[in-house]
Amino acid sequence: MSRYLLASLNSFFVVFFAYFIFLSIISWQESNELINTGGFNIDIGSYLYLPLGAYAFCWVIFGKWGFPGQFLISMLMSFYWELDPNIFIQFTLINVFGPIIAVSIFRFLEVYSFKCFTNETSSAILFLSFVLALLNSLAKYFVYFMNENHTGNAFDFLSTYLPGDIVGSFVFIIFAKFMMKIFQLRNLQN
Amino acid sequence: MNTLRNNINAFLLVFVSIIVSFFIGTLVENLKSLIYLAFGAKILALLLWGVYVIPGIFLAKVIQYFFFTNFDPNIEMVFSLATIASLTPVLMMSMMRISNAGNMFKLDNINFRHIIFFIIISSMLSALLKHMYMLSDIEFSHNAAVVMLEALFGQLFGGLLFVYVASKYAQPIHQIIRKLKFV
Repeated sequence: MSRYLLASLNSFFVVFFAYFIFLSIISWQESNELINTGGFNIDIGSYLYLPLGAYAFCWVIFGKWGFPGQFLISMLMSFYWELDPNIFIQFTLINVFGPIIAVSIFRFLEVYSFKCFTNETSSAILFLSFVLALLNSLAKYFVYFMNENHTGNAFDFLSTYLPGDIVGSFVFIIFAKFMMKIFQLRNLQN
Repeated sequence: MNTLRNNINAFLLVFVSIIVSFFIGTLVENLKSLIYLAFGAKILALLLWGVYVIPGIFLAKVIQYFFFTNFDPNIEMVFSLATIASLTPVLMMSMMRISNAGNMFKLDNINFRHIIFFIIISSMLSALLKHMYMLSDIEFSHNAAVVMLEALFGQLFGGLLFVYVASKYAQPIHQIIRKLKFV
């Protein structure tokens, strides 16, 4: 029980940290008039979507023990962004299960084991980020544009979500790997 | 001479599978693109004969986009889509090689699970790139998500089915043909 709670709390705060940095960067960009989104707009993604890497990191490190915490923070962020009720549950599920599917594909097809990020090379992490981004962007694209209420520009959607997911997840996982090495942290599943 | 023969083989393999896919599509209307065998044929041609068969694959794809599509083709669109279709698997092969995820350029000691992985990511990237190109057309973009979903699953199922059947039955069929002394 305590293991569940500890892993859930840890994964909650790891993903929360990623969201915090992500939102801080957006606020900083807007305050310096680098971009003007006119508030939060789900049609256009960020070019540094860090939380995707955080979800993948938590799945690899904490496994199923950290799952409740990831689900809770994803739900809270969907509330925070006041997502449309038609896509609320789907986006939450994609956030949580997308990285699980991506990492499982790598493990099941014996491409990389991903037992712990400290043992993996940067090229393996880049490849994981690429597959993560493909799954996340395509799944959100299908959910968003198959809903008749949304008639945004599909090209803008994909061309911002995809590079943002790749860069964001790669940056976060590399940063997390670096921190794990510094503080000599280990995988909770081992 | 050997490269030319391989290109002709690849062209025939992809072209015949396009025709088969086309007839499956016309016979079963709802499964129009849900089993797209040509994708598997393209992957198999690249695995068997290497990257030198790209011209053969490109030619087969050009013919497909001119004669076997639902939209009105123009030359720029046909050549762009054929380029994307023929170069995307090569891009993924190179990416897998660079990141030590499996060497698709040599069939020696290859893990079949790596081929499945290669098909999955190639189909995803191919569907994405083709549709990002076609999304510039405003009329197309209204039902783009549905078309893209069909294309993605069509390529995925078709690719996996074709490569699985070919890997399982190609050798016995070849031996039977040899016994009949046609080859």
